Amino acid sequence: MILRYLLRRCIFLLFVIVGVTGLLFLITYSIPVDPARVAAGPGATPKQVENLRQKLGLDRPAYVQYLTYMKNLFRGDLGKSTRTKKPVIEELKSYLPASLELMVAAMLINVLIAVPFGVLSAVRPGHLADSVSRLFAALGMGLPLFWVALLAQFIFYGKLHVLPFGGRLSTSLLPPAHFTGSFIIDALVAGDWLLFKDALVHLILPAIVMALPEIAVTSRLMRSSMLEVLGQDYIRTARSKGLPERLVVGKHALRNALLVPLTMVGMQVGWILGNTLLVETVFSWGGLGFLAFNAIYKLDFPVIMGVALVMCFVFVILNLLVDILYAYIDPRILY
Amino acid sequence: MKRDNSKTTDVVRHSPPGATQSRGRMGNLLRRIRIALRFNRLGVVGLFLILCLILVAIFAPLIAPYDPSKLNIQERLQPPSIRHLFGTDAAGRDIFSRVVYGARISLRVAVVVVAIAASVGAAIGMTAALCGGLIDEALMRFTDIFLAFPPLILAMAINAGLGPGIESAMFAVAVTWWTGYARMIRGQVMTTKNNLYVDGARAIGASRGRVLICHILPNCIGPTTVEVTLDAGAVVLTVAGLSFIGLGVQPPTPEWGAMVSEGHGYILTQWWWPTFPGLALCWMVVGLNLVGDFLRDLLDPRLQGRSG
Repeated sequence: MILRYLLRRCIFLLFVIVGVTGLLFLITYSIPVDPARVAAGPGATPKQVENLRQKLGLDRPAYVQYLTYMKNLFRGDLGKSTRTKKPVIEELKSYLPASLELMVAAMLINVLIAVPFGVLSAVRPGHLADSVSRLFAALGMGLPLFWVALLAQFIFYGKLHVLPFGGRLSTSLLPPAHFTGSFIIDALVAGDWLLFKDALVHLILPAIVMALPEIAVTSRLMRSSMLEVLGQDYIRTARSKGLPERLVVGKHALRNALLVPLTMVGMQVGWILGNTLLVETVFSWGGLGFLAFNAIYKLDFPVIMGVALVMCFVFVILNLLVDILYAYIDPRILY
Repeated sequence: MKRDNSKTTDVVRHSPPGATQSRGRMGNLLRRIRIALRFNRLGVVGLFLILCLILVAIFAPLIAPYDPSKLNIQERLQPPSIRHLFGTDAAGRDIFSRVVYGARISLRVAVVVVAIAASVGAAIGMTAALCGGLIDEALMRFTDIFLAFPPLILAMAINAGLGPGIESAMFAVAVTWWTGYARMIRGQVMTTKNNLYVDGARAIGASRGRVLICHILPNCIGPTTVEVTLDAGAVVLTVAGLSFIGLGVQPPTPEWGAMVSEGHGYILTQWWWPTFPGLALCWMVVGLNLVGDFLRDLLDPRLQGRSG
C-alpha cells in the first residue's frame, strides 16, 4: 500500500519538477535583459553579440531552448556563473552544506523549545499564560527576521561581547578538511575540538534567529493540538484508571498531539529556506542565501535560478519525507 | 423575463436558513464583537496599532517635521534627539520623517498585493470548484507547482527577472501569494455549492452568475477576510525582505525594508538607523496579525454559543 503511495508521489514529483523548471525557464526566457548581451560583456560589438546568441542557441524557438535546458539540467549542467565563470552546479555544491547545517540547527531548536512550551501552556491553561503565548505568537510571526538578526548582532556582539558577529568560523582558523561540508560535523570527524567549539559558537545566533518565527507557530499548534487530545475519551480512561498525570500527558497525549505540528514541518521548511536568504545575508553565513544575495547584486542570473531550483528541490523532497514519517508515527494512516 | 427573474430571486433571498432581519443581524454582529473582544483582548491592541498607522499614513505631511528625502550633510548620523526623534542617516535625512512616509508605501503594498492575490486566487478557485472534472484537476495541479516553491524564493526569482523596483516586487509577491486563496476558495465553494438552499435557488431558475454571487460567494467572505488580514502582514514582510536583499524598493524611497538595508552596516555604531524602520515594520505586522486573530475569533462559531 505504502509502495503504491510512494510511486504516486514520485510521479507527482516528476510532474512538479517539470512544472518548476518550466516556470523558472519562463522567468529566464521573459526577462527584459538580453542574456547574450550580458554574456558577451559590455565592450562587445553587435556582431559579436549575434555570434554568441547563435552559439548559445538563444536564437532558437522557446520550446527548443527549454528542451536543451532540461537536457543540460539532467546532466547537472546549470550554466556558468557570469560573475565567477565557474559552473553553477559547483557553486551550489560548495554553498549548500552550510545552508543545510543552519536549517537543521534551526529546526532542532524549534522542536526542542516549542514542543515543551506548547505542552506546558496546554496543561496549565491560565489566562495570563494564554495571553503571553498569544502575544509571543503574534510577535514571533510579525518580526522582520533581517532586523531581528541585526539587533541580535548589536546586543550579543556589540554590547555583551558573548557571541561572534558573523561568518562560520573565526578568521584565525582554517576550515576543516572537506567531508560533509558542515564545519561542525567535519570538525568532529577530524577530532578538532577547538574548531568544533568555534563553529558551534558561530552557529548559535543565526540558528536561534531562524528558529524564532517557527517556535511561535509550533508552540501555538502544539498547544491547540494538545488541548484537543486532552479532551478525548481515552485520556479520561487513562486518568480514571489512576495513571499519574505525567504519564497521561507525556505518553498517551503527546504522541497523538505531535501529529498536527508535524504536518506543518514541511511548510516550515519552506519558510526557513526563504529566511536563509535574509539571515545568511546579515550573518555572512556562506550558504545558498548568501550566494543568492551576492548574485542579485551582480545580476548573476544563472546562479539566482540555480539557487531557486535547489531550494525548491530541497523543499519538495523534505515534504515527501514528512509524509512518510507521518505514516510511521501514526499507524492509523493508510495510503 | 427579467422581471420574472427578479421576483423569483426575491423569494430565494429570504429562503436561506438563519437569515434574519437586518436589525437583528446588526445586534448579532455587535454581540459577537463584544464576545470576541472579551476572549481576545489583544484584538483591541491590534485595532489600535493599525488605526494609528492609517492615520499616520494619511497625515504624513503634517506629522513629519522634515522632507523625507531632503539631504543635510551637516547633520549626518546624528543620534536621536529632540530635533531628530529617530536620529539621521548618512545623508543627514531625518529618519522619523522617513519612517512616517514609509507607512504610506507599506500600506499600499499590503493592500495592492493582497487585493491582486485574492482576486486571482478567487477567480481560479471558483472556476476550479464550479467546473470540476478535468479543468479542476488541471488548475489545482497548476497551483501545486507554485506551492512547490518556498514563498520568498519564487518572489526572489521573479523579482530578479523583472528587475528591482517596487512594482516588480509587488507583482512578484502577488504571483507567489494567490495559491493559498485559490485552494481556500475552491474548498469553500465546493462545500457551499451542495447546500440545499443553493439547489433551491437553482431550481427556481436563478442564473449561474446569480447563484454564485448571491448564494455561494457570501459564504467565502468570512474566511477570506481573516486570511487577507493575516496575509497582509506576511506580504509586507516579504516585500520588505526583497527590499532588504536589494530587489524590491530602491533607495532613496523611504520604504522600511530598504531603510534597514541601507543602515545595516551601521548597526554597531549608529544603531538607530536600521532599528527604527524595523520597529515600524514590527508595529504594522504585529497589528495586522492581532487583528487577523481577532477576526478569526469573531467568525468562530464556537464562540457564538458562549454567553455575552
